Amino acid sequence: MKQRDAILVLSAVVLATFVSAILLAASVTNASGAAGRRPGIFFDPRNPPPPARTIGDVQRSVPEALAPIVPLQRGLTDTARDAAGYLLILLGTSAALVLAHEQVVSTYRASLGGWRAQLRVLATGLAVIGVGASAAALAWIVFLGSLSSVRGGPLGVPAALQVAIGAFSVALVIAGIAAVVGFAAAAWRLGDALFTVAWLRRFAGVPAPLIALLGATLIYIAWQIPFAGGVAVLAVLAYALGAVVTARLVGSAHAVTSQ
Amino acid sequence: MIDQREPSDLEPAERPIQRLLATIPPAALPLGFRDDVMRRVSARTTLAWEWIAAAVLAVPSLAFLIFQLVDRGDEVGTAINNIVAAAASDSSDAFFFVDGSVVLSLVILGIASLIAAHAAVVAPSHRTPLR
Repeated sequence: MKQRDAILVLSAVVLATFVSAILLAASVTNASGAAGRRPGIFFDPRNPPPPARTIGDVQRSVPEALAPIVPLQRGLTDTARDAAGYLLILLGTSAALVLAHEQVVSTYRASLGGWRAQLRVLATGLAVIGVGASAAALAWIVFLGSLSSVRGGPLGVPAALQVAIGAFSVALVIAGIAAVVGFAAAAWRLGDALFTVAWLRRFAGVPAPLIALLGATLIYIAWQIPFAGGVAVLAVLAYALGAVVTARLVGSAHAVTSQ
Repeated sequence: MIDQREPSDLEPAERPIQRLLATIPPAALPLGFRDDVMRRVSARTTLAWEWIAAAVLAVPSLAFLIFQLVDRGDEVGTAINNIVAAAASDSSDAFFFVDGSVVLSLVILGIASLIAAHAAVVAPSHRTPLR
């Protein structure tokens, strides 16, 4: 094991120790015997969840060794709950970079180029979204129109509807996987674009996965902007799908010319 | 037999080097040379830290989640029942709460799993059949 690897393992051990302390404090403060605890997970259409205990109350009810950690644990877990969406985006981007690395790299390469190439990718993505939405709507119209002939068949309307919803969900999952791959490539491109700024060029040696995560962070921040966030997300989705389709087309073209 | 043909995509500056290298007669490598080189290039030991880091990160989160499931499994069951009931009702309102430590442990577990997946995905590509 090299020195760099040893440092990484040591960092993981330190992080794991810190997280263990936080989780231990969370377990003790919310153990089943603790008075006035909040549920770990709560969903109710009528009643709100019980209010949280104050940090002082919690500190009095836990062992002395854990009392100093309680404010940190409360702050960190509240932040983690609020940032669940952001963490999900980071995890999805990382998963695409690890598990679909070749696809992300080919998509990234397909989106390289000047503003004309970027515009072409975006326009391709918008066209793909348009085609997908139109085709999905028409498919539902055709299917629902043909339900009258299904009524007397062996399956019946409820079963036919369930099959259609199942098939539609599968199509959505496939489109979602393509979108995640494209999103990782788009985030990578955005991170690249950020490092072309003059005062950031000195950090150009940052590893590509970190650049992609930085790009994903920027996209998430843009998503939070009122009104403009929706447009930004649509543009990113279009760019992601456009990049995936462009990569597929480029790959197909290379395959044809090499034959 | 030395192949004197030059690749068509050579730059002018590359031609002398190509000619020089082309004059070297091919020789069979010693047995095991390729495996030895590949062993050094692939540096399999670099994967060990990924497995260790993944295990170190995953264990506390996994233990916490199992403890939560054992200690508060009834709350999970109640929440799922309420979700199913809400899906069948015409209620327009709903209240949701999740402990942030559960979110934190799920994220750490996800990161640990990704590190392990990376180590697992990279490992087979480094293995080459013995020649």
